[in-house]
Amino acid sequence: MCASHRAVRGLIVELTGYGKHTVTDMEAGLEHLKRGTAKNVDMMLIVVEPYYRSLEAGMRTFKLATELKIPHLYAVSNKVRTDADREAIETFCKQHSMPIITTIPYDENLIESERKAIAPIDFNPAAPSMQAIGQIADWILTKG
Amino acid sequence: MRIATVGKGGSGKTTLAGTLARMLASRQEKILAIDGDPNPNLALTLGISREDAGNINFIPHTVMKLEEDEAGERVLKMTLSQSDLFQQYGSKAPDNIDLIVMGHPADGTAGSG
Repeated sequence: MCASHRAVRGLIVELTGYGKHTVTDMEAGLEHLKRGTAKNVDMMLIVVEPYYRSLEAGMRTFKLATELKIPHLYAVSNKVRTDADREAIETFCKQHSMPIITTIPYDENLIESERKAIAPIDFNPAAPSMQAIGQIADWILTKG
Repeated sequence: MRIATVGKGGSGKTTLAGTLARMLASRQEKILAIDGDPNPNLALTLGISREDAGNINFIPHTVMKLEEDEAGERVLKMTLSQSDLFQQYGSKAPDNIDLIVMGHPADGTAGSG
């Protein structure tokens, strides 16, 4: 394991309790998911998009994270433009027993906020993508 | 709760992480955000300006050191105190979020999502 991956994991452990929650944007790829990750992560959100390579990568992450016994494991379906997109993700996730916590629609507000270098939540807190992410926040808050 | 976002580069995991952190923090929950992906975008999605994001000190991986405890088990220990860590490497984002950013590995294969 690369030293920087190890350092991220170690830091999460050391800093648990610093805040009420930690939110970690993890490095792309699977190589950092090792035994021990489950000790450091309570909830893993696997972002998938409606195309096969993304879904397949998400499924591999999901399988690995299941083996690692991460307690709360969810797919987040993202950049969904059409009913067909939504169905493609739902069908795939059902086949692989991956629960979907929320579906984030494709949202021009995200493109525009990036162009203007404003955080999406500040650019338009009522945007459809923000409302979808709000459902995850609600879920976490009900768990305390 | 310790929450992690994962996904392919460009999938939107960084937007998700930053937005979720802001939403939890706006409801009076104290949040620590950790950018474990060597790209600076988490700072931007949290609401830190491009200029300030460019001045963030990345945490070198040497901040964690492998040591043996009394039982001979190898454990990772922090080489500086929590307060020193935040003083040297911590950034403040809106809604009183603390952000720390892990240093870039040399290989540069990171995604942009």
